[in-house]
Amino acid sequence: MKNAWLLALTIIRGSSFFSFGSDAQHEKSKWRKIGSTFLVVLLFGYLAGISGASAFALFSILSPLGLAALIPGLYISSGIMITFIFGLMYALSVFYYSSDVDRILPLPLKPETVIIAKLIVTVSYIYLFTASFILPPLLVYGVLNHTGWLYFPTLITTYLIMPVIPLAIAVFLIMIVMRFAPLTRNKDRFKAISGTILLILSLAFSYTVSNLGSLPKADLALLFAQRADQIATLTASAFPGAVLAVQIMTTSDPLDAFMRLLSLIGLSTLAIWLLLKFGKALYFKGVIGLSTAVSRRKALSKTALGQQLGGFTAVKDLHQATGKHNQLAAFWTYALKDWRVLYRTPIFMINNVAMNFLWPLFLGLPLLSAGSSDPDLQQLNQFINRLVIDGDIQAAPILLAVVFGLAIFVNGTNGIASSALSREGSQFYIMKILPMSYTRQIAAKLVVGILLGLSGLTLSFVMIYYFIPLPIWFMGLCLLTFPGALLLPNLAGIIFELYWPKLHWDNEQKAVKQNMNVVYVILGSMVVAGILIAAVAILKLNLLSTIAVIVVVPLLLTSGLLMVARRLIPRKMREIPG
Amino acid sequence: MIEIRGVSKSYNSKIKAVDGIDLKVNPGEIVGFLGPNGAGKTTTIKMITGILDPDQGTILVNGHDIVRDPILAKQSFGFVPDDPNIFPRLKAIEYLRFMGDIYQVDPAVRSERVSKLAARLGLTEALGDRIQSFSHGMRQKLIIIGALIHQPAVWILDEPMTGLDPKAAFELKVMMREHADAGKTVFFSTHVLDVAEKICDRVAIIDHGHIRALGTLTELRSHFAADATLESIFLDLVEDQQS
Repeated sequence: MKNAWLLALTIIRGSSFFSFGSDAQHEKSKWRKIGSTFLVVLLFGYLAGISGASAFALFSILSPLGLAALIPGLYISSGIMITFIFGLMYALSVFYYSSDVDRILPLPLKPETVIIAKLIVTVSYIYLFTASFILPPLLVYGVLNHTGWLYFPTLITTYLIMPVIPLAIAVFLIMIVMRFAPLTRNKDRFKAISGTILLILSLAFSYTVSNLGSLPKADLALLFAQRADQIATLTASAFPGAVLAVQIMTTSDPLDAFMRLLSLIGLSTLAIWLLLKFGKALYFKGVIGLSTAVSRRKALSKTALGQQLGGFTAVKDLHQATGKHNQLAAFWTYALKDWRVLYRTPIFMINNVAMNFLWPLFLGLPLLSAGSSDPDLQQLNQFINRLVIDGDIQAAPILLAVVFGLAIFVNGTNGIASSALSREGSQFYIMKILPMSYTRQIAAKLVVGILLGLSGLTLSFVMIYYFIPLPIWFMGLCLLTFPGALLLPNLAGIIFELYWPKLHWDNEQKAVKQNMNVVYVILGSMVVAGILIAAVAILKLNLLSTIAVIVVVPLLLTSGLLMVARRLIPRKMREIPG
Repeated sequence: MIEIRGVSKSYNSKIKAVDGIDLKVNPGEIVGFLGPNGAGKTTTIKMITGILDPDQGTILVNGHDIVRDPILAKQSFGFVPDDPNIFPRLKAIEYLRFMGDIYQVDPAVRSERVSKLAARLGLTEALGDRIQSFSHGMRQKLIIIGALIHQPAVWILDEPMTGLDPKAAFELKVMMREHADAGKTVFFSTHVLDVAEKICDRVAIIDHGHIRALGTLTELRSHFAADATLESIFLDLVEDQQS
């Protein structure tokens, strides 16, 4: 057991999970590190505040109806479901796809030691992940319901034990899949598919929760009781111990709670024992050889070799026609290389590429669903109806502002430009040895971000045009908002990257998911969108003034950033150590 | 030709990784760059290739200043880094096309060049596969082909033999000799002193950021025993510094 703890601690210390920010934040500036930590704490606090406030709101609705006792049940059941869903993802990552696997396998450790250590690492991630939205509501409930002091230590104990069974089941399922499913041998494809499914699940989950919050109070109480019952039934049937966890938190008898807690501990211990028993047979057979990639090893024919080495075809033709030096080919081949790395790397594919197309869907679906109960969406629908049905031009300014807001938000969240240098990681030095100016290399990277963003916007545009018969002139105005919405977050992302690239990572995930530059750009995009939408709404701008604000202001800002970037790129690129 | 004049570099403004070195690698010669771990070899190579800027001094590659005229300087050398893990998710052929485009090699001659180099190094059958599936040695071979696709006048190789199978290592040594005999320049770092002894026209030994010795093996022997090997000379020089 001591070895398992030691190994778990070593994995956690060496992992990227708990570290945010750029290399500079780790190595140079204490203040930046403090700032970055503060931002993470702020985000954590924000999430905790939202979930705590949701429990407060629910209590105020359910308490008068005598249904307050449903609250812990819902959050615990949801916590168990979340643990299971994200447990699948973390188990895959920690047990199979982590870079430490090849280093741990040769160590003289028993299989169960490695499994326990990996389980400790996975459960630590789960605790950190779920703490912000499971603990605050249950604490709020305890305070509001005057449950007595014993409730709080019971809550902490239950919270610590609760994830063990769903996680053990998730790990077991992953071990079975990885042992027997041939798909898993193509590591990248499997990662991309499973990651996209999990992303859709988590977005669907947050969409459901946000919809729940927008219901009228009476409906909410009824729906809440139904949902709480559905989730509790589902988790109770899928995860042994789920009922116990709920009962521990809802019983008023301390002895009863204690006995059920002991039973939950017993069941959890049994789950670990069973996992170790089966894991010994499954884990190592599934993980050995996983780091090797399959290949065909078939020589290319002379023709195929010639064709595939032929250079960037369209530009090559241009080159042959004009006889000019082939700099365009270099530029486009660089962009093509960046695109290939993006879509072939599962983490980049999910976070940078797929997001361009998923966001429009998730933002658009509630808008398009006629029966949406969100008051903001209802108001937006009213504006759309005024424009479409009544032909009321007065509705156009606010709609144009919202289109711009959504467009800049989607482009800000794709993180392509705001991780453009970080994604290079230890290979950043290659940018320095190529005979191509830094400005051109970065411009090629920007083009990839802009084209992908444009693809996402085009999809949204087509989708909106198909479902909502907006006037053509309005759709034309929407197109005018795209240049600013595309260029502004991309340029801002590059500038952040020039100052704080995150090049030292052992896992591609760290380059995008734990990169503060991506967060800065998302927040910045939201702020710019918020200010401009507010300006249009509060000042009640007419269409012409709105166009000036929504189209011209972002383009002016873009021009400013472009000038800054052009000046910064050569200097900062030289300064960043390769 | 590579010309290094009074070049210094420090990482934390206190300890100089490279301290005022001068070194000239002439056309038609192979110069081996030797030194213990942390001596300043990689820092020097990083400065020659433009990865790091020197704090002081100038570096000319084929007459182009790497700081003032970086694009022309970079266009004139081929660099093989010590870590061959480059773009693992590209196919080998895609990487070579990338290098061909970046170095603006005429598409008409790429196929022939790549075929010849791949055949010599034994990588022909793997060109259609992803780099991810390659062993360390195969990646090294690919990087060498990529570095030479534009037929650069100057070769800069950082530990080029690491991971290569004996046949490929032999072939690379032959290629280096051919390149130098054609009046071009080869500058490479190695820890394998036997290799340096066999193929280098001159060697430079760096330690604690200073060039401790520079010359042909015969010239170096003049300061040591007449039958001294490169290994014994190297150990004497490095131990002298440590004692």
